[in-house]
Amino acid sequence: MSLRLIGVLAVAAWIPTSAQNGVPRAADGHPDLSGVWTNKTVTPFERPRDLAGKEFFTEQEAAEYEKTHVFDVDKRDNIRGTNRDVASAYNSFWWDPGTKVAKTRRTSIVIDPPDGRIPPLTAERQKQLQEMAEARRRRCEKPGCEPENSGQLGPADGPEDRPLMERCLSFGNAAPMVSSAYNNNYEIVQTPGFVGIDIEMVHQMRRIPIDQTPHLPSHVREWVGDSRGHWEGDTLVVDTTNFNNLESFRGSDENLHLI
Amino acid sequence: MGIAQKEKDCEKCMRYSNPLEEPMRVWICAWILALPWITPQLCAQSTASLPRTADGKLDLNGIWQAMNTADWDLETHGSVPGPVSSLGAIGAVPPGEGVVEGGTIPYLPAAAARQKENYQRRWTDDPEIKCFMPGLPRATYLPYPFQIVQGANTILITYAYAGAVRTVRMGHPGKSPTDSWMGWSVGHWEGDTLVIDVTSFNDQTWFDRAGNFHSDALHVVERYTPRGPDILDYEASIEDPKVFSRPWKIGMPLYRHVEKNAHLMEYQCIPYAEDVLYGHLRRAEGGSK
Repeated sequence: MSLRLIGVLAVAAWIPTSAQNGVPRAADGHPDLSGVWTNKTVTPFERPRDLAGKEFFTEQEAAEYEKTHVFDVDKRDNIRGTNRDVASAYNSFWWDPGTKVAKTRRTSIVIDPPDGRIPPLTAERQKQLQEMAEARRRRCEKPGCEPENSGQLGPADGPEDRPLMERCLSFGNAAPMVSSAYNNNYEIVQTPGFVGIDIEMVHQMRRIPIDQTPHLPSHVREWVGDSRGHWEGDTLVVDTTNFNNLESFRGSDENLHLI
Repeated sequence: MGIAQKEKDCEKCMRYSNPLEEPMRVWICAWILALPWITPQLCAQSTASLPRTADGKLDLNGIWQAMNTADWDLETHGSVPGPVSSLGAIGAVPPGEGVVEGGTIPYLPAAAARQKENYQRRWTDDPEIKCFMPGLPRATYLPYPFQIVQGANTILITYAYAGAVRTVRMGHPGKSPTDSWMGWSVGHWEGDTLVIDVTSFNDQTWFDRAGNFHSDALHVVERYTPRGPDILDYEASIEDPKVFSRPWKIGMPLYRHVEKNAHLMEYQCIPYAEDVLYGHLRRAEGGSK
């Protein structure tokens, strides 16, 4: 289930509605995706509970939603002298999460399942995540510990305990590419046999060979996974596997299969 | 084929000949001019037959790698022991011939002294140890492959090492918004040579593991010229009036990975460098750091 969910998400995030007609074409006849793209949006990832059953905003509702959901970091109530105040001290100048809902006026980025909500994690995975959270909590029984802006608990015993963002390893928006707090920009360069996507956030690079070669052997794991692309009509379909077990998308593990 | 074209072919063919071979080079060039029908066979393969992109430019797409020891030292160097004796032959420094035109890097006196200090501290201070972005031209001859993704207006060059990547904007008139590790790359074609002008570097990168270095005034002009479908001649002109007494050049061939399954894999080295960078902050067992 989650496999299909994320696949649809990637398309929703990437193909603007106008792209179905009159698109620029590469010499090989495929749509030319080259250029600098953004997916910043205030559309919520999951459909809020109070919008249950409502797949699309009306124009008026969209305008209202945009007005009431402007991200205003300056209003956050950080307490002076705390870890959080330092770690979250960016004011709104540094943030760029977008001010508009998606052009389709969908009420969630998740479009399948139709309720716009992520299906629950398996019981086994929930238990695993609880254990990891418990381990973090225990580490945080040491003096001076409090939650930071990333939700990770500090202080750490060593660098590997720090959040992936702080280590410049990943902001969790490379695979799949989802809107986050800032740097929601992507440069695509396309050739007949390859598509490269340079992600502005910590310059993660999606390398997408358009070839028939198999994925890497399963014991080889990569931070942005191992991608292969092919064209289905005018849609570039990218199949990505071989993720590592340190990166997690909404609770996923290393078996994440992203299409 | 006109004389001018023949001379051009000949120059291309001989670009990386050793100065010691000069008499041979003169002789071969004379011979080429005398026997025009042999030229295409003798010299570097004529670029007319090389693959091209839809817009008629040479197609440089693919995975490339230098095959030399330039990352150990741009100048000619003998082998020396490595920093970790338990690694034996694996950890030692291999010998190699230099890639600097004329043999030596023309440092200003103060900079020459600084390079010597860098060399003494190379096993701790080299930014490559820290998984920092490699800068240029070092990214090209690190002992790892890189991939050229050639669009018409933009060329991405993505390096295996540290996930380094740079955007080459073709004919872009704009100025760099800020200094950076990988600089600001603006490209253009001179015939079948891709020329990339790179400016706006910071002063944090080195040229090699021997402590050769530059300042933030570094200006690099790279030239990628095919000498066949699978070999590029790479040349980088290096200018930095704060560090060098004159501009200088390096040159080397780059080889295409022709393996059927050639893909650029991820070499994310941050986790391997964290202990070097932050290990001193690690909480000791029962300690309070």
